[in-house]
Amino acid sequence: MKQIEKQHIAPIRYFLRHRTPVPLMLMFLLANIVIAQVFVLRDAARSENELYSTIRSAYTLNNDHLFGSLTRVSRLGNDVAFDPDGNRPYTDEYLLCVDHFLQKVKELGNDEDVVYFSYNLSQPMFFICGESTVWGTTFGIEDLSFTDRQGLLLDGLTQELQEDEIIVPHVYHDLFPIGSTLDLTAQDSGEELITLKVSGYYHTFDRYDDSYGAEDTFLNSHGFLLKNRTMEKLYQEHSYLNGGIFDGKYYGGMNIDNIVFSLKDHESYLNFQKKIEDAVQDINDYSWKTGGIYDTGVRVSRTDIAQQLKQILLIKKISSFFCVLLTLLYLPFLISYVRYYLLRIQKDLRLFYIQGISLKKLHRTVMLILSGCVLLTMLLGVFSEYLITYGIDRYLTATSQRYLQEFYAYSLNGEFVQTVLPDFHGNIDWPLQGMIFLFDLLVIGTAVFLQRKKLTKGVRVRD
Amino acid sequence: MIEIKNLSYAYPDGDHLRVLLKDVNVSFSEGILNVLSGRSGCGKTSLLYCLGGFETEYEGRILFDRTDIRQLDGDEFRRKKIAFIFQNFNLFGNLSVLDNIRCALAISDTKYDADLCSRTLRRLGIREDQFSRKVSILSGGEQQRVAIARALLTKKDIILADEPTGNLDLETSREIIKLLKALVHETGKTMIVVSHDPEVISEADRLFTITGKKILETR
Repeated sequence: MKQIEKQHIAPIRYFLRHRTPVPLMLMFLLANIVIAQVFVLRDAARSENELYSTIRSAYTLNNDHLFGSLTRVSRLGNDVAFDPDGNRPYTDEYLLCVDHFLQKVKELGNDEDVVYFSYNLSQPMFFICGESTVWGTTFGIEDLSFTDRQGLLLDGLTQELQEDEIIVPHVYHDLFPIGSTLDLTAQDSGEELITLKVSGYYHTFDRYDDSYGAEDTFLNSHGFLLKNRTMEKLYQEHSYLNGGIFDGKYYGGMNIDNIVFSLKDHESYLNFQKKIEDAVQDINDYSWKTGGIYDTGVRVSRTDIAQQLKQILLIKKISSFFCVLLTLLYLPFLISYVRYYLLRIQKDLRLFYIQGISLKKLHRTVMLILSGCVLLTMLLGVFSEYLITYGIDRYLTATSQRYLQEFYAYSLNGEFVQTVLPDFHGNIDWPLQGMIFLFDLLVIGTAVFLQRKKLTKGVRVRD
Repeated sequence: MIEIKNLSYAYPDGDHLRVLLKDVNVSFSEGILNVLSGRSGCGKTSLLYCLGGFETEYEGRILFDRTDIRQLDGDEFRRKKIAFIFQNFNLFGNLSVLDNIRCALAISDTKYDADLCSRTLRRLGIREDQFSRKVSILSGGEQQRVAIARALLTKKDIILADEPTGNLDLETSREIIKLLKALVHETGKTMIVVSHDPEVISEADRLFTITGKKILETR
């Protein structure tokens, strides 16, 4: 045994000292880092792209966030902490938005389809629930067999939610990954603040109660969660129009909290629905052009956020592209180097073989060294990925996260909510590492395959 | 003493076997310079590899101390008993002279004796300032001397040399073969040199020639 160990020491020492796999490991390491970056950047870009799209759609498809921001500002207007001097920090842009909004609302109130209209927006402390607007604008009459019902509560729903119920703002759905747990406190129900807590993710409501039946579609598309109560019960409890006229003659109503529209009939409702959508779009466009999101006196333009995100995404996409390009260019070089390394080792093996070390043992020694090399490279790769994600990538992702967090802060009416943006910093992606490990083996395997004719001949004594 | 009994050797050449040696019987004595000569491709080197345990596909027997070498552990036999000297030296070019010798000693489990090593190298014409130089920067003749020193210092019983002067000039060849002859006479080892170099042939104590698939002792 001692003899076997001794005779192995010479080749092992020789290979480690004179045929050191360190350059090989460094070359693999570089390849692994580049590959890891491709995926990290791709995932980051994909994730942020979705968020970016969501933000865009939030501003362009409905006015939740316009209302959310207006609400935010209106609330903060009374918040001493908001302005140490006690002044309302309304900016010109904000006031322009409010004026535009009020004008649109008044125009809608003058619509011929509206039989009753009231609003209470003259006070600075107005509150507009964006969700109500969503319901109002896209309320599925077909789904709800509207004609069979004498009225629907829209605003009332908001105000009378029980503690275990939450209206999940329409736009947020796609932001909360399935299975994630989100603890948030949303203050959202008009003048009375109601604290709502939700745990878990409720993207769709199909799973809740089969009794919803056909109304699942409605629930899915409008996204509010109503635990314990079926829609039927809700209708029974809230079959009136809050602040409007309900005498059994009118078929529909729209309520944006303090704004109440009552409509003549079903057809009026459908017409009005379209007009509301147009108005919302108009308000939205106007706000997009002129308005910003306000935070304790600091104006952060939503256009800026979008632009910044766009730039970050672009940088990531370009980086990712170059990483892929680099990998493709680097691969043949890497394989060639492995072949060269094998060839050199093969010559050394020949010399050891001549001196009486069995080929089997020599091959075992070399395989041991190569395996150790691959394993060590993998560990170094993991470590470097950890470092890199804390370094280069951190800047980009952190920047985008900052903007996104600001966005979320407003989208939940001022309550800070930690985003659920995937965290790339310092996370080790083991499946990715496994894939990289397979890549390394593939490269070595390819090199061995290309070198096979020489290798399979074994170590020949003859030249 | 190494003996060859009824040895036949052939190697595959395309889809048929090419016979190089047929029923060869010969024995090589210790302490003298045995030279094996013959035309190119007649099987000299193949026979040397059979003797050294590199080739095992042959008929007949090769006896070392009356034991068939194929019954021995082939690797151990080579490690403990056989030293090779090659035409192209087969040294680790990136190791120093001393490291080449140390490496061979470690493999053959022979204790390193610095004094003996130094004396042997000096006697073979390697200067002390060359001991720590990389082998690759030495001349061909110097490299061959290092290879000979390696063979001697590992204290193996049989030294097989395959065209040891093939890459050397006439003068150096002459020096090397005289040195080998002197050393083998001193140490009493069994040395078999394969060569068709007239200088080597002229120095042979016993000369064997391969002709017509047989080995004839011509001196």
